[in-house]
Amino acid sequence: MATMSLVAKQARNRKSQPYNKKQAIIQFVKSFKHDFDMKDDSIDLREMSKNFNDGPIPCEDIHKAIVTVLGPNFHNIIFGYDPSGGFLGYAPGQRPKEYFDYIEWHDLWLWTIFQRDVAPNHVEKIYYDFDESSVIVPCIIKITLLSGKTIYCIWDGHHTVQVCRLKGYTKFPAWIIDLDQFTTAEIEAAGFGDTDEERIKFGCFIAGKNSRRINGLMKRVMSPYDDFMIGLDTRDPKFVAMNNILVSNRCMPKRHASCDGAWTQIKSGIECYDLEGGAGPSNGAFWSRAVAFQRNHWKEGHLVLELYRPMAYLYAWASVQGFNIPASFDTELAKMLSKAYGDAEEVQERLKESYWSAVNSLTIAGEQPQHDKFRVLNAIINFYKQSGGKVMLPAPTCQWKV
Amino acid sequence: MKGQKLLYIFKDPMGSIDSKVGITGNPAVRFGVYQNSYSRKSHVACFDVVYIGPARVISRLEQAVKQQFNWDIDLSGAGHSEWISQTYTALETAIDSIIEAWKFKVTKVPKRFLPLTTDNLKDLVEHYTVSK
Repeated sequence: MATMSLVAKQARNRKSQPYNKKQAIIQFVKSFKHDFDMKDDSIDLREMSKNFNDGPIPCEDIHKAIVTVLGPNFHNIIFGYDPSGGFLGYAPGQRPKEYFDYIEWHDLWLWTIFQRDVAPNHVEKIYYDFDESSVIVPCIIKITLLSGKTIYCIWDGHHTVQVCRLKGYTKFPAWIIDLDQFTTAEIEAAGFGDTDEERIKFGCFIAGKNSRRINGLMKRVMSPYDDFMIGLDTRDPKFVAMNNILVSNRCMPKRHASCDGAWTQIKSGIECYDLEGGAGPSNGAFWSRAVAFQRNHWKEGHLVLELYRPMAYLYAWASVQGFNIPASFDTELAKMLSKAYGDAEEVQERLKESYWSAVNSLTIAGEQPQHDKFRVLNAIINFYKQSGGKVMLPAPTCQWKV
Repeated sequence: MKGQKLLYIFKDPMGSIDSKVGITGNPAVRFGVYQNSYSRKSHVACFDVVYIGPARVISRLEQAVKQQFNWDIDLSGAGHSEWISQTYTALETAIDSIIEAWKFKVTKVPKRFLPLTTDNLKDLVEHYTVSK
């Protein structure tokens, strides 16, 4: 009986532990000394790089992080495919279906059925920022027309090619898909006929589909955060100055407001940095003071956009109107606001609610602002005056009982 | 309790040092959920430390707490239960600091209502309904 029992136990299949994404991420991050965020839309590689002396990270480690987030469907994928011999395959004695080459200018064509219109201002933009080391190889499909003429049609990188032409290039680098190397069977398998006309339609289909994939469907626009961080890491003077302001206030740029001092609204921060005062560009002076306004009083928490931005505008308005607001005002106002509303997020929420309440009850006088930054700015000025504040401030553009 | 929520901490009734932090707008129901896990004769479900405040402020406080203790939460996510590897007194001290630093406008429930159970919940609700 004992033996039977043992056999029965062995035969029982243990169910594997169900995948738990959060748990898997925690376990993965725990294998490193420095923590870093891992989310569907971003893995914080800058934080991750602290585990590699702030230097390059092996792609294999990033790969493991990615499959941890993606889950079991992407586990256990091993190496085993070498595309360097022609990833589309080719018949013996023939060229591969894809290869790199240099193409003469007069052989380059653009077929509008699979390419978008050209934007001269985009060509101009690339031209003035041109660097030969930054040319990404354009993608081209080689098509033999019914007349027998061979043309090379660009399906990605047309603007780059036009800029290269402006720069005097005589030959143009190209990654080529050679339509002539596809067999009739392959073309028929894709749903096209066996005539030369159908072959050309098949080429257009490939080019159009890939063009849409690369420029539309699969395009991941660079986020303002990534743009800022690359600018900062490559020593863009303005971003370095902005970062110095953040660091001096115990803040840092972050993709998500997931830690103390996180600054996430990159474009709005730049807007505040660029504000001009009575004497011209502020070079971040108003923004710096606005960030300090929050951090000196609300010691912890992420930077709250509709607190620092209206404050930056308040300082800028005063400067444009020819006076400066004394430093003591910042402490006085912060104490008033936190006493009335509490944390920084609640301050801006309640000030905005106050505005909309006044609008809905028709108890607001003056021009109604069209943007939250000016609604909160007016609310702050009204609140301060109604709370007995004595420091001179710019006049609000609208008044209500906050 | 209308518009108000509680943020609570309670210690592991089974004796580990771990503590649980959560928020609720309906503590009676939440007590019921916990009490269903064990007999009242063994342990009366209770909250050892409680903060009360407007719902969205309490939600932000919870976010701040979880942000701070993110990597101390051993098992979390669907199918797991969130426990923090800290004593409830250590958590209480940490949460007091968070409230001060963030300036959250919440109230710490006085000790006379603690530990909060279904037995004295009515007193707490009445107190904060009247004082509000």
